[in-house]
Order: sequence, then C-alpha cells, then structure tokens
Amino acid sequence: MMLSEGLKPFNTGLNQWCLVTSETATPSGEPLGRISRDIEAFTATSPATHILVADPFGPYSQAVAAGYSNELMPDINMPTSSPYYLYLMDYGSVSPCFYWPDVVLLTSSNTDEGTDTQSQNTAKLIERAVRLEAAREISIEFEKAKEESFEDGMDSEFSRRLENLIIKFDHSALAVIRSLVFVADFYGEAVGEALRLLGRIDHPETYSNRLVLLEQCLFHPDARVRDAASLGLAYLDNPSAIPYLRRAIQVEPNEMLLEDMEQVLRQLEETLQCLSS
Amino acid sequence: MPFFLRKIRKAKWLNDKALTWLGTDDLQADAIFDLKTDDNALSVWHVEDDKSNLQVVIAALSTTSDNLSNLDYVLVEQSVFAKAGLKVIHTRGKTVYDEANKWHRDLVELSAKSLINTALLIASQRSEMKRLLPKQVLSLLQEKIMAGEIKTAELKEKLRGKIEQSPQ
Repeated sequence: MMLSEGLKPFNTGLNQWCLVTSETATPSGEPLGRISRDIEAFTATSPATHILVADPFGPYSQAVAAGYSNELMPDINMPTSSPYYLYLMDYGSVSPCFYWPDVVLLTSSNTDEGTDTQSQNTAKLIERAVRLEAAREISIEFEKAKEESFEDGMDSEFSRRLENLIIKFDHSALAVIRSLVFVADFYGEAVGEALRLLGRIDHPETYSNRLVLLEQCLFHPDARVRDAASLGLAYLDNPSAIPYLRRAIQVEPNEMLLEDMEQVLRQLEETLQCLSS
Repeated sequence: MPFFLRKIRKAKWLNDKALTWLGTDDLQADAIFDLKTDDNALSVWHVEDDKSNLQVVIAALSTTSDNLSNLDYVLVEQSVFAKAGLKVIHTRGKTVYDEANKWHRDLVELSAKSLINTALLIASQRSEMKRLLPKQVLSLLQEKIMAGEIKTAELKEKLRGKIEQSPQ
C-alpha cells in the first residue's frame, strides 16, 4: 500500500516516526478514508510509535483520531488496540488533554499557504510534539524525585535520569525545566539538583542554553534556586556569566548566599584572567 | 576551642525572606536530612582550634563523593555541643584518605529531641557555614594526590575521571 501523494514522514529525533501530509483535510467527503489508509500504509512500513494529527479543522481531525481511540468518541466503533501514541494539535496551541496513549497520525492540513510556510508549520508542530513528550517525561521525574534525598557529590537516580532526558530532548528539555522553575512555580529539592546538573553535565549541544537558564535563575525569587544557579555557573566556569553575577550580587538580599555568589564571581574573574593571559 | 565539622547542603539552612512561614530563629525541616544518623550516631570531624587540619578533613570528605562537587560544611565549637550534653566518641573515619581518618568522631546516643537540638545549634552558627566550590575541591584533591596522601585509584570512577582529565 502506498502513501498518498504529498505525505512525508518526519523523524522527530526521538526515534519515533511521525507522518505529515499536505493533503487537504476537510469534513466533507473522501479525506477521512484517505487518512485512514495512509495511517495503515505508513505504520505497515515504519517503526512509528507516535503519530501527530495537526488539527486546523478540530472536529474533523477528532473524528479521524476517534477511529483509533474510543476514549475520544466512544460512539464510533473502530479499532482501539493500536500501539501508537496520539497527539492531536494545531498550529496555535497544544493542549495536554489531546494526549492519548493510543494511535497517531500527523497531518498538516493544506491551506493556500506556500510550501515554506507549510514547512515552518510542520517544524513548529514537531517541536511542539517533542516538547510535549519532554514535558511529560521530565515532570514524571520531578514527581518521583520528591521521594529522594540529595547530597552534594553523590549521584542520585533523579540526576542520572534527568541527564539522559536532557541528552534525549536537548533544548526541549531545558524549556521544560525552565517552565518548571519559573512558570509552574514548582519547587522541590529536585530543582536545586537539576540546576547543579545543568552546570555539571558534558553536553555541548545544550551548553549555551544551560548557561542562559542558569543566569536567569540567579534572579529567581527563591534563594534556594539562586543558590543552585550560582553553583551551576561555578561548574560551567564560563566568564561570560560575570555581568549577570555582578548584577545578581547587587540585588541579593540574603547574606549567606551573597558570600557564595561573590566566591563564584571571584572564580570566574580568575578564569577570565587566565584565558586572557 | 576546637570545632566539629559537619558536611551540609547550605541551601537547606538558608533562612530567606521568601520563606515567609519560617520564623527567624527557626530552620527548614529539610535541614534535618543533612543530619542523617546511623545507629543514633551523627558523623562529625574534629577540627583543631587553629584549623590546621581543616584542609585535610575537607579533602577526606571530598574523597567519598561520586562526582566532583562543591563541599558545604559548618564548623561548630565543640563547647557548644558539650554544653548541650551531647556525647562524643572517637571512631576512625572510613575514607580513602587514611591520615585524615583519625579526626573522625561520632555524636552518639542521639534521641530525636537531641537531634533537633543539634540542628538548632548548627543553625545558630550560620556565619560558620562555608562552601568550597568544585574547582577548589579539585585543586585540594590534586594537591593531596601529588603529595602521595591520596591514591587516585581508590577514588570513585567519575571523580577519578574528572581529576585525571583536569590540568594540575
């Protein structure tokens, strides 16, 4: 069985293949059958574990998805034993409620947009899907970490697993950690452990983003987060953080933490001196 | 007056304005995890009053790490614990830095109440809470290795790897 013309499989970087189509998907007529056939054709020949349904026509795509998940529309009598993960999403938003441990097809509905815009939209969709998966896995680790206690210098299950997730999800993992620290206003000792890890791990691909996140965390309202951020920067030992540390020191209200930040600043200034001599 | 040194994680001992629920003379409950006891005994290290053995003790503690890390510690005058009636015994340390192991002590027969009291005594010494950054720990360990006091081969794998790949 062949895929419809215009369908393109994409590798999300997660070893999970997704399918993108530029075919028109409208609530009227043929496309429903075509998409179902495309899912069959695609999954017959690929190691897909995740498929995405891009959903500019909400109800229609939900109907398509319903063919593979009775949770979505219980009235529709369609197969439900698919081994795939389903993401249903549109260009503007991704709602976690559209997440089922079930089937998935990624279709990008055709509009009058040019190819470039379609590629950009596709890239956005894939990025969102990866981030959604990263959020799910990383949040689970932060939850589990509530049962762990941490000691400086000692490996923890949490840090081992988080390191693997950072390597797996790259920048998406950092975006998730950032939102756990800032947006979700989540604090557990795990946040401190995570920020130390960001300084410690050897992962050049995320180096600059880790540096930026740690610099931002110097200004977090919680002193424990600021403390872990300054330690993370001490690990990175990158003098480009000096201006941020200086600014953080100027506004740091906690004396104990101030002393530690000054110590990190001295280290980075020495490193700068070594590099320039 | 000599001191006792205890390894801690400073963040747990911060009394920050952001923790609005925490009284000024109180401490975070998380700090108690830094005082993990074994057989109702708390491991501490003796530090001479002139702090002449401080670097040795810190190096010994650093050798127990899996990874290169900062080392946070607190120094409390021994008289403070003596006044609180805490019992101390000599027990040899179990680090790979043999020469340092003689400085190890245990505070023993600790009840839950006396442990909390110990935590409060430590919290009252916040000015004596110090930190060695990872880079400082690295150079201290390198110094002791160069002097032949610590054998690299006896360190844990990741820590050893970090020391071996770092310039002296």
